[in-house]
Amino acid sequence: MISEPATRQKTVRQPSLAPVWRVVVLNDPVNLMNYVVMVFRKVLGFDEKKANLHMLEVHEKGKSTVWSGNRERAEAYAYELQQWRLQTLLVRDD
Amino acid sequence: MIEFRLRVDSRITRAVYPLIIECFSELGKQPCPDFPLVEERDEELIRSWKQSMRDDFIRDRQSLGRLLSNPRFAHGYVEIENEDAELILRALAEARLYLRSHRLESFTDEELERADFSLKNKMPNEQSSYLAYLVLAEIQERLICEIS
Repeated sequence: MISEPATRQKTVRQPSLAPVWRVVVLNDPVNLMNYVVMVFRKVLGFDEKKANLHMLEVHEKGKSTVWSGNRERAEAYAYELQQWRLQTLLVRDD
Repeated sequence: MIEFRLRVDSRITRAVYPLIIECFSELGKQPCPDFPLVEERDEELIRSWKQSMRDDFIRDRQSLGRLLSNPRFAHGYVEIENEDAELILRALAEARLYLRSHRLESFTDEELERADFSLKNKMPNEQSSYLAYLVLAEIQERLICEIS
């Protein structure tokens, strides 16, 4: 007797649930505005306009998310920003 | 080689030079920043991060040390090897943060940001610290212009 082939279970690919990591720069009352702009351009590759916008956000709102994505790159950016003496946090968004 | 003369009166530079040297020598005792993720539990990751950061900070401070030990610096002349420029910029940021938190505690952020106060009303040691803070900022400003 030939048995019926087992019904194939339909597998549904789940979208990736990898968390997003944000690199957040905090305000400090010491570092010069043009220093912060220069660091953003150098480390994050921002153009002058974008670097200025983020610098102003840090200055006026106390912090700015300057990058978000996978953890590995977020860590690398956070390291470089700390190396330049900017107060930096990594924040995980679930 | 990057060379310039500070726009600050050289008498001020000479007057604050000992204080700058004193602050510079204290930088080495300061802790490096913490790992940027407060809830991180991987001790090995935190340890290697801090060690690497510490090594970078030492390298930056050594570059600043070369600038400060140049006899012409006390007279307002800045002479820096090109490859030292970024390292010195970072060490200057650290020195200014140190001055802010250890020598200029009585100043408000607004006072420092807007220079909105009378220097004469400050204590002599605060006056010196503030002038040192400005001299270091001037070097940063000029260096940023040079390398941009």
